[in-house]
Amino acid sequence: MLPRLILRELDQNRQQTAVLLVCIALSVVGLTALGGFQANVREAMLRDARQLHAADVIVRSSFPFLPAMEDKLRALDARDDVAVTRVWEFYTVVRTVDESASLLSAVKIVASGYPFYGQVQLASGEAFHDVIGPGNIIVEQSLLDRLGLTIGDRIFLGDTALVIRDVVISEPDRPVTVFTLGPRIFVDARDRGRLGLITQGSRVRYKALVRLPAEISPEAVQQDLWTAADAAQESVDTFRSADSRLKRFFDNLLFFLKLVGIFTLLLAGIGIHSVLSALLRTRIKSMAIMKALGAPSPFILRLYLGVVLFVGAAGTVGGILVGLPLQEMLARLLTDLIPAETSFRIAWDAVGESFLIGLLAVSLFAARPLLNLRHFKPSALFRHDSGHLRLFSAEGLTLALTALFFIGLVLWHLEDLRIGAYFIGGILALIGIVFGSCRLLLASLRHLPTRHLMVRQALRGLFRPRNATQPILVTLTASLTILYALFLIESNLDRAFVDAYPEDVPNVFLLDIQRHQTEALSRLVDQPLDFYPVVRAKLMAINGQAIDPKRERQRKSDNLARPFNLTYREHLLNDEEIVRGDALFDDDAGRLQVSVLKRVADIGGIRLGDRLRFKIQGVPLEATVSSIRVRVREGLQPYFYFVFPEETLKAAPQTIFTAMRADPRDMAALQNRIVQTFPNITILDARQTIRQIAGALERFSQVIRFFTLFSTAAGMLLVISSIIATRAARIREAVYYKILGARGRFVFYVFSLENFFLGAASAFGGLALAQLISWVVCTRYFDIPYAPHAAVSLAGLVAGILTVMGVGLSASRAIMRRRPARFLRTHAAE
Amino acid sequence: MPRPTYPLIVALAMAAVFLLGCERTPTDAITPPAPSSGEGPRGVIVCMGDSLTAGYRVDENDAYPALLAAKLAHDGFSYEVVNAGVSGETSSGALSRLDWVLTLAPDIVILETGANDGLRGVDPALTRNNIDAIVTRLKSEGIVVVLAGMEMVRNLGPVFTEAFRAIYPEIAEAHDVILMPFFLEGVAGNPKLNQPDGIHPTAEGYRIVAANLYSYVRQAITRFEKRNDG
Amino acid sequence: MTTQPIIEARQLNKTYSIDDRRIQVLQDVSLGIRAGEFAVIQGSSGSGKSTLLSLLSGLDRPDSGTVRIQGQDITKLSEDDLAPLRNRTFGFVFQSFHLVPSLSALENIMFPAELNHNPNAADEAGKLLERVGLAARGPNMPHQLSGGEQQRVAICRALINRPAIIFADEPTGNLDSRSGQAILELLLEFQREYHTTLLMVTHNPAIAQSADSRFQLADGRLAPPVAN
Repeated sequence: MLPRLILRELDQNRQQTAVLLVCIALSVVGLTALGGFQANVREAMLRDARQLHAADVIVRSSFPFLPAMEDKLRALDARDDVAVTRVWEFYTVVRTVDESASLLSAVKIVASGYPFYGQVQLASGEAFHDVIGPGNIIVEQSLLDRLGLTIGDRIFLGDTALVIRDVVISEPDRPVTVFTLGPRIFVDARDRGRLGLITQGSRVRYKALVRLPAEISPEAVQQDLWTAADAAQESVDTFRSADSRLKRFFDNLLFFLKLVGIFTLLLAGIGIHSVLSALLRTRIKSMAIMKALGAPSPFILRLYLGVVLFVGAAGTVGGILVGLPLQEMLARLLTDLIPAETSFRIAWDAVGESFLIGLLAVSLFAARPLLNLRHFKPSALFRHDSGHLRLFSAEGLTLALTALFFIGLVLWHLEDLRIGAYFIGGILALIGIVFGSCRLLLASLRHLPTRHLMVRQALRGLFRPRNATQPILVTLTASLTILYALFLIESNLDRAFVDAYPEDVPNVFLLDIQRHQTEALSRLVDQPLDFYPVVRAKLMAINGQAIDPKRERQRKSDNLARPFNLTYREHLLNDEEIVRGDALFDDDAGRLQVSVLKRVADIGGIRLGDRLRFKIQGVPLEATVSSIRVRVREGLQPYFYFVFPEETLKAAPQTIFTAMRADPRDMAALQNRIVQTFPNITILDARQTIRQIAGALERFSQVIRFFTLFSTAAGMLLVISSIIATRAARIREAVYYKILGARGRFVFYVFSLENFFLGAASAFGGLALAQLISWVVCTRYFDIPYAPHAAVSLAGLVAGILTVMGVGLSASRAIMRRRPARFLRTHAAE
Repeated sequence: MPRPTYPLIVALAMAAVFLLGCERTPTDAITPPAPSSGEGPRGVIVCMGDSLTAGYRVDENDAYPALLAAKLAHDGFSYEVVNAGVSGETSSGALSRLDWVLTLAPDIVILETGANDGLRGVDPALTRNNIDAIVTRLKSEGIVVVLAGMEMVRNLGPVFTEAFRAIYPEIAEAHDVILMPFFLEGVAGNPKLNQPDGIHPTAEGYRIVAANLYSYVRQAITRFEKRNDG
Repeated sequence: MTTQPIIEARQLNKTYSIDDRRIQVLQDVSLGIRAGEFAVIQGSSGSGKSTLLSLLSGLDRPDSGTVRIQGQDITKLSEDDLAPLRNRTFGFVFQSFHLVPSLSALENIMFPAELNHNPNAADEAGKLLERVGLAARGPNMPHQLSGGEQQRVAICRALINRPAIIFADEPTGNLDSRSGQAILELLLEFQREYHTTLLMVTHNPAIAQSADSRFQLADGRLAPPVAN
């Protein structure tokens, strides 16, 4: 009997069943696709990280490895399944064979096997090890340009002449964070001894690269090597632990994706809950009749549990079926984003995870309304008093279970107890705030006196019995909050990183410029330059309180005991904003002033008006904090913690640096010109670094944008479903209006207004909360400056309101043109 | 909330500025004046130099100027020792801040500069000109100069390191100033006495530097006091 | 009978399709009702009474045939053209009351008057409520009222714009016999007082006895009219 009744229930509520099905499927699709994508991204990033180090385990030292380490490395190398290779890196001054020119160059001596991961790309397209060999070297193009050489020429390294065989385009393990003082030269390890450059008194980076088979954990080998390492000079890293900024960057990205995943799940959960509640609400009469006929509570419970589980299983399976191809599609997208060598696999663990989570979520979200069925009295059949239908009252146990489920899920996904705790606390606070403010808003609207008929009807519509305005408002507000927050975070990440790398980002840095050289330098490079004077100084005291160097050095962040670079100028840079104070400096000419960057102000608890005492190479100077600044972009633009008025520091000892944009093809000539005219000026070439950063950022923003859009789609569908779930009540009211002689326009206006109230309340509330959330996430977690993004916010606001209105109206549109009789018949006895 | 990871760019910007000789370099310090014996110090010794003088990543009391001050005080010489080291400074930078150093009214200057020129591959001729100009100016102000000789890391190649090494004795001879032949004598290249970067001495390394330097400083004090007395 | 009927139906046909089955609910129904008359449509369950009332009141459209109200054919009118008719010419009383659940008793009564831009809507609604003995229940919401009370509010709502015709679809069907009787008397009282045409669907023979004319429906066909 039960299966038949279950099927009957499903059949009778086809529309709602469909919405519920879509809701569940959607959340499962989201989880499957997202989980799979995450797994693939993680895998790709680990591969990236491996390539960035060209090895699984890396041992580094500034000195030759000590015997203990050498023994360990030899033992490793002796194993069949392990390979070890050596790398030596140092700078040297190379000379043309006619001794007419010389150039500081970055030498990398490599042995066979290098690189274990990734590859060295050569201009000729040939394989690296086919070209490199005794007597042969491979150089960067800029070396040829600056020395006026071509392939086939010879140059002196030390006293040995070697032949340039090819030009290197990229190497896998070039550290992105290092600006090069000179072009790269690859030398074969067999020439190492004959160069005579690695001797007592040389400064060389010694590296040993270790490649391990998949079954040996790099961490275990790291542990083993550590036991032999002299911590004072030898360091051992795995490709996972090494201080790869790129990896940490991707860790941030992964965290953001997890955030999106959890948000999506949360949205889906809310959706399932609201649709299910609506479904059960329409079944009150059936339940009452069954109860009146003597059906025991457990029977009814089993019946609807059956309905829920059936829909849940169907939705989950459907979701996975859709999610799998999507996973593959995403994988293909990823291939474009991250250069990958291996093909992608279906992340079956993600599939399994979503199946479990899908079913669990459905049961849990359904549990509360279902368990409340027990308290349900058949008297509902006779009375139309909704006060007795406490179908959706709070139920401690299931609430606790749901909460537990989510806490577990969040912790599992974030893999970090503390952040997880913050996250859960934040979500709970969010729900609490939304719930409370919705209550408050509804209470104040309820007694709002209004004479205008349409406005009154619209307001009253919010309070029609069993309309569940509060749950809808809470759902809408919560989902809009999450969507807005994602958009705002994305916009801020974009502003901080992607927009900080425009096409004309500086790619050359010139330092150690002397003051009298600035004008001539501008003329030489033929472009106006911004010169930044740098004055080295130490901060001695804040408000008379001396800086304690020991305490400062314990700080994990920057510390106040180190020497700082002061500068002087009278204007804000275009990537700066003042957050405290009116201007960079105030008009009080009587005292010395300093403007402080917020980052350092936060470290030292420095506030507006504080007195800072500096010592500039022996000379004390006390200044009052006149403003606190933030940087709005995290670009390569120079920035200073402390800025003084020009007259204060003009006389202090200083060097000057500048950043400029040079045509990459013209770079070698430019460098030669500068070196010839101003030999004291150091030139840092940031082209390679910027290429790498820009590429990474582009991928980063694409991935984030994709997931934000995905989450938006999910959120919008849930907004739609929660409104559709209540359409029955609206349709009934529209019919009444028509019978009493209202025109279609009246109905249209009243519903528009009602939905506008609903949309506006949730959109405004959601936006306010989203601003708060994204501010916290941006400033506390990502540690980037926050901008409210008024335009994005406004667009989101309008889009949110229009969506709610549009969906709400479309749900009641059917009634506008048709005769009311059939609605009266079908909806008569609710 | 923890601040787990500055995103890449922050780190890069920091790295950039580090190389620019800007943020993220450690301690240079004005050492507290040496304890005065009665009527105040007899003279001022200014230690002018780069990170090797400033004391990279060691406590300011472990860098050589502080050790020198302590040793002088211990031996009864009443001199104020000022650490005027600036990390990352080249000889060009040293030349341009000479006026500022002179405001400290030094009687003796220990000049240690040029290492950053060499590490950046700057033409030794420029380094020589700069140091020559500094020494000329100091002498014209009547200041006793101790010139700390420097050698370049061998990996730069014999031609370069030889040209570089020759700068110091030649200038010392030309201007008749006191020369400490190699500032890092007995320290350079020894992993036990250097930090993991291989070029900056540890506190223990600085004790050797200070001990080596001491006799040259005593020579300078003798010259200074002889001139004062005579 | 010389006067023009206020409601005149000709050859009305109505078919419903449920899944694959087609059910002829009304077949060639023609009737005329004079102004001020109390007319009753009788018949057993499923005989098509309510459908006929829907067609006559413009709540539904016939498959063929015409309905003329005060001489005007309403079967071709759009929903919006029907609106003023429903507001001012018709009043509706339903078996299951159909009060707007979000409006109080008083507001339910006021609503048609307000749609008609009547500035005295509240006063008139209040008076009507008083008439039916529910003056104190004005602020109550429909779900707080008993069935009899709801139906009295519904009658007030149907009357507030002084309509020419009141359509009542088994108005006592959901009420006990005492309340039902009271409602019936109220309707007739108003009908006499306002000279309204009252067309009521019922299967209560006692009520039918008191009607001016009776229409008997059986299987979608109309038996010849019986005058009392």
